[in-house]
Amino acid sequence: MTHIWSIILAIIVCFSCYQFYIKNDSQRNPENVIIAYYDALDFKEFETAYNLINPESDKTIAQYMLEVSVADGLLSSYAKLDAIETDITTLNDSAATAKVKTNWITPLEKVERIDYKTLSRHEGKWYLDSEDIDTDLPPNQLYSNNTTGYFNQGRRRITTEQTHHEDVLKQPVLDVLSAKLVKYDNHYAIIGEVQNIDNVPADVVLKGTLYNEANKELATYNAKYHIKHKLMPKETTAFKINFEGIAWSKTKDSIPKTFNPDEFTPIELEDQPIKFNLQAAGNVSGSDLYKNMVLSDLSIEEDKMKGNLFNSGLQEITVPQLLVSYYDDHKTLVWVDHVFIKEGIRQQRKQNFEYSFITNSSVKIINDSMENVFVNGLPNEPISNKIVPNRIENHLNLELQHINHPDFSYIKIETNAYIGNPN
Amino acid sequence: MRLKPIYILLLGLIVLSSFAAIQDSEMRIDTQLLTTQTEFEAGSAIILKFSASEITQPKLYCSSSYGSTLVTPSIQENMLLFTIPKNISKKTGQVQWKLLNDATSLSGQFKIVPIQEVTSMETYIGPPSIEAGGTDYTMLVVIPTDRLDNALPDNTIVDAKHQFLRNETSDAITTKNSIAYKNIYSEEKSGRMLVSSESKNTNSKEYTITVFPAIPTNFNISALRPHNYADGNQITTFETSVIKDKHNNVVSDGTYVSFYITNHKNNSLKTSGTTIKGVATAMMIHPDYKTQWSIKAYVDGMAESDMITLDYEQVINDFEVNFSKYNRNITIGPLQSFMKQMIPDGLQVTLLVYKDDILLETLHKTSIDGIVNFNLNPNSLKKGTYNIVITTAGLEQSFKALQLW
Repeated sequence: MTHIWSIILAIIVCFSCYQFYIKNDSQRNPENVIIAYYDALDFKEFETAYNLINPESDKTIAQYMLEVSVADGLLSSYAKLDAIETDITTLNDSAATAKVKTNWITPLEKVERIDYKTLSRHEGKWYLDSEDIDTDLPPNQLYSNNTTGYFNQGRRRITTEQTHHEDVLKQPVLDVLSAKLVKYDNHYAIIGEVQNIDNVPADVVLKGTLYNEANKELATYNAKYHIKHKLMPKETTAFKINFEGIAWSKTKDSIPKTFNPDEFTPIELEDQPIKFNLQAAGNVSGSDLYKNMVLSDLSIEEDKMKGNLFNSGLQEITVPQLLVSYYDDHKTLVWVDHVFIKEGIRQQRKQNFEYSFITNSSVKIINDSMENVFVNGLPNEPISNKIVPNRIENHLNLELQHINHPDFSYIKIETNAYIGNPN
Repeated sequence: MRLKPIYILLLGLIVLSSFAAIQDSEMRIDTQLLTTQTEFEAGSAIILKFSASEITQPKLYCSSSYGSTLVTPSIQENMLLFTIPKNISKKTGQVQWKLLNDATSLSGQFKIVPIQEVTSMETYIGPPSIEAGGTDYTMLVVIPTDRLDNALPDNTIVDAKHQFLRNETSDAITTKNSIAYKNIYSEEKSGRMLVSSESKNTNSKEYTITVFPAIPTNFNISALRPHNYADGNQITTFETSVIKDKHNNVVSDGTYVSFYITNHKNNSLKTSGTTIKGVATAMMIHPDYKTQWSIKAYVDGMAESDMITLDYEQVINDFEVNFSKYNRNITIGPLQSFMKQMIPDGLQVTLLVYKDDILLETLHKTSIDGIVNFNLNPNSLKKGTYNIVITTAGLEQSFKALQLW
């Protein structure tokens, strides 16, 4: 009896070992290569990753490493792999194609990516075919560029006493060009446009508050991603304030086990918001004023747009961002959306992008009164009338981009850049 | 009736006691204020003298804006001398006093006036930056004080001085409720304004007000490019004329100018620049297809430029396509530029594979040395006939019914 049992046990052990080997031998089948490759990339084991690349491609390890090192951006420098799903679309004994769906966690948002990989088999081992890199060359070797730099002394006198009255800078004057409370798909947002009408660059903070009919405060929140936070003199940005609640405040809410950068707890409003209050505050800022991101090509399709961004300056853009404002057929601003481009843009180079227009688009403007809009604590209207008495209203409406969309007629694209490694 | 003597006794006591009170006040009537001065300079020794005919030493209750205190007298030649403490005598204002006798209500007041000299000037100015044009102003507030930090009386003359460009101006203003103020208006020019104040030969420190230019007015733009070919590689630079405000001041450095470019497809492209000495420069990479750009620059809501148009000429008029390896290897090129040189690396070439009018694959590649190679994967594109479309530089070539093995 014991003999039979030991034989059965031995068979189970052998079978398990075999299964373990099959599942873990990285080059035994296409799935394993793909998983091993992404695992190596995730843990920055680039030598391991290189060894999974087709040896018949003429890429040396030095070339591979160099290509990895020059790639910057949200996905290549700030992401961690969360999940991977491979789907082998075609397979024969020497070649395969695969659709690889990966989920990445970045500090800004979750990224879902679909890559199409081709694989080939050499001497019984599967390899990934190497990817082509963008061969675009900038026209010049050396670039020069003039920019205006800013420096705030802070306290001019070295003292631990309170700051001298004259060392306190005036808050830059902002002008809220439009602000409205909108309802989009069961959630409320304040959207609009704000301009720095002062002569110094400003760091902009926007705080919106919602009220019901009886002037009871319902919610307060600040503009997060949907704004250019740093504005040069006379620069305009679209903005959107989403109202977020306190996460996991109820006992029945369970805290997720993993970090979710897109964590959003919609606020539970006790009543219908009818009115809103917007407080815009500017402070003089001398940093993160990189504006050399150019929209260099664009093509509009039915449900998306494609285009190229060009970095015309001397800093590498780590995370390019597009702010897309939607307008109706009367050129009235109705919604603001944004997208982070996953790849960085090196100096004087192009990067293509793709953006899908929003689909569920039942946007309703609830209130567009500018009555309760304040700039640096003062009412917006008199200040803007004083500095810009004869404003050309809706000046840039002439330059809106027409789109063929059932709900929207025009869009405006604004660019915003985050520099991870300023030099 | 045994109560009667008690009533009489009580009445008698009341009458007696009123006599006693009268007698008492008659005795103290001699205590009088001898000091006649009712105005003292702050910081001077203030001594109130009272005549005293009596040995008891009543205290003096003093009350000023800084608080109240009791002063114990000293006796000198039959006089009661009350020295007002320093903390009261240093501060200007009314001082109420009352001699604390049992019954008399000898009381009065005197005034402490500031020393007629200015030792320091408490000065505030704000906002520290204003706009040129004569409507915006900054407010100078001066509080001249003596050496004991007392504000000087109303109508003290303060000279509010400021220098702007070649002008040095001095205006006499007067204090009211300790404060003298002046609104200093900007002039038409932008620049730095230095402000100070003077009162009774004492001067404040220097303050700086920046007068920024007003909002920009319309301007012109120009473009500079190494050639007018659409090679997708060179950079066109747009430049504005010197942007000025309506008073002919050059706008402040860093003013954001957006350049909108409309191409022949009616798509709106955008670049931007910030001004340096009024000139904003913006860069744009050349398109890689023949097009016409209409460019207009804006300072949102305030100013705009004229519109200029630029034509970009087609640089590649035709390209060769070679098929090899059972039509699976497709070589495009040489892609030649306007002088027959190889197009700079990075020209985008797109290959679309159709089968029965259904798009199967879209492949993008960029050129190296004027050549682009596509390899059609036999795994995903099985043996059969396909339609292939190749687009680059705005050109298109299609190959119908291409046989792949």
